[in-house]
Amino acid sequence: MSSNMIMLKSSDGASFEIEEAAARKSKIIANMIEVECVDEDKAIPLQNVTGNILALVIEYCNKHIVDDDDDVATEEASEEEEEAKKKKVDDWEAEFMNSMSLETMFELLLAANYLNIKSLIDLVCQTIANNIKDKTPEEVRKIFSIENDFTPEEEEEIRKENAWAFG
Amino acid sequence: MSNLPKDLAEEVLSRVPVKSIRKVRFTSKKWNTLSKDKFFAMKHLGEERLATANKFMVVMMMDFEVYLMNINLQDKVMEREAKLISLVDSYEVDIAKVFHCDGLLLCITKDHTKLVVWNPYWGQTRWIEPTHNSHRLDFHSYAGYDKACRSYKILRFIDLNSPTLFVEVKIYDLNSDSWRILDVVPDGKIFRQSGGVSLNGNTYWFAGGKPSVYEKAFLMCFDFTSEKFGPLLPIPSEWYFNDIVLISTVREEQLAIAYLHRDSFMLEIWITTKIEPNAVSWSNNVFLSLDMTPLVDLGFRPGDGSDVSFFIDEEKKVAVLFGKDTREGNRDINPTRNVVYVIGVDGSFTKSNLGESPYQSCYPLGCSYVPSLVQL
Repeated sequence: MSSNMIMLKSSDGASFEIEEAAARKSKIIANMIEVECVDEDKAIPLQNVTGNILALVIEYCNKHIVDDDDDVATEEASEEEEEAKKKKVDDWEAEFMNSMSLETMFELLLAANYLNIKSLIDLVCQTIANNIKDKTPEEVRKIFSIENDFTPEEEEEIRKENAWAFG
Repeated sequence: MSNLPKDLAEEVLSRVPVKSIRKVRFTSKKWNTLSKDKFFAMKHLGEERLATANKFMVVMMMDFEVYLMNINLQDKVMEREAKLISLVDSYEVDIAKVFHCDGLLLCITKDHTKLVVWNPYWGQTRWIEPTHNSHRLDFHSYAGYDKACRSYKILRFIDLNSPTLFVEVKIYDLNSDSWRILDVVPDGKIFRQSGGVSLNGNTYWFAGGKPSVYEKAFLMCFDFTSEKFGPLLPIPSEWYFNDIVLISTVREEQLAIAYLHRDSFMLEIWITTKIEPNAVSWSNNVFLSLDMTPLVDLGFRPGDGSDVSFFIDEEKKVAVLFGKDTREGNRDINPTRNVVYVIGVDGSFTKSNLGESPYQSCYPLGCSYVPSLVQL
């Protein structure tokens, strides 16, 4: 294994090789590397992340490490180039999120939180929130497996509290 | 998400667009309570500000319906985000006028019998009877903030369509929930048709003054803290009787005024550099000065004796004007179509259709809207 590659091991035993620079997107892993907890021959065990979710996390990190490198190389880039690049990343992120189910999004969010990858947390939260905005409360409950614990009287009360709305 | 930790659930919910947070409130007791938490609400508004940095939000009355519109000047796109609906059957939603102050919308019902103060963020409404004279269609209301009493107030006056001044001026205090008659006489005659805007809790209008209300135009303020009208304040550029004058705010910090000279079709827009109830100074340079003849030929009609709205964006160097369309190809048509023009200081412009309107004389009326956490 080259010196800038590290191994990650999912909770279900799958191993992934990842560039150190990409893995550093995770604050937790970056800290482990800083304090030299990373044994070159051993994979870092991630107890809370399954293989299929870890694969998504790694895909995200790899994509974004390339972008960060680009930033350094073209510091003088014009505004239009910057904008075009940003659009490319936005498009990639949209497609990336589009390819997964809501259930997967929740698991990815938990993983991003556990690994402390701020930009991925933001991305997943925003995507889930966008999913809520056009749904009825009943549909929202279903997505989040929430019980409706309002009595009909309480529901009427909330209706009055929120009497006028932009709908 | 029931198994998401609380902080992650909050992260998700704080990114739900402000207009959709109501759905969150209806899902469960836990989320209803969370959405009312002040810290959550502040975070929520912060996220909204980030997400809408490129746009500005406008609340518009069109054909007696109230819409939330997003104006994205970058791509010159205007979108209807949402429409006012009532979740309580007995509440009417036909609105003749909307006035914005600190995230509160003061609405006058279509039949001019009721005033409603509404905070769209919380969904709360406060219905206010305008007391006597409520049958009159010529009462006018504006909202403001009394910094000494820390209370929102509504100014209401009845104004006869003559050079004489007001019949009656009253003020309503939202804290004490009561009307009082005010014994104040303004120095000038307010041009109601030019609209009024709220800035720093006070309302500003155009007003005609000495030697005659038809000869000279000024700015005038109602100070909601002292409960008095301010002096007549000078404006740049010459105003002639019948020129269209409009007023707007810039970033909730300054005022902008627009003149459309009826004879020359010249449009001028000026911005203040300092504005207080009794003092004003103006930028030395005109923000926009354009011959509007090409647009007038295209049917541009920014209202005729009605309230009209405009907005500007200093950075993008554009003005947004709402109005009615009077031309289709080479032929004059009834002004039934609501339109919006985005006009660059360089003379470029785009025209967007906001839809057919059954009311010829109901001009689209807009006010900038910034969500706030003010409780009613």
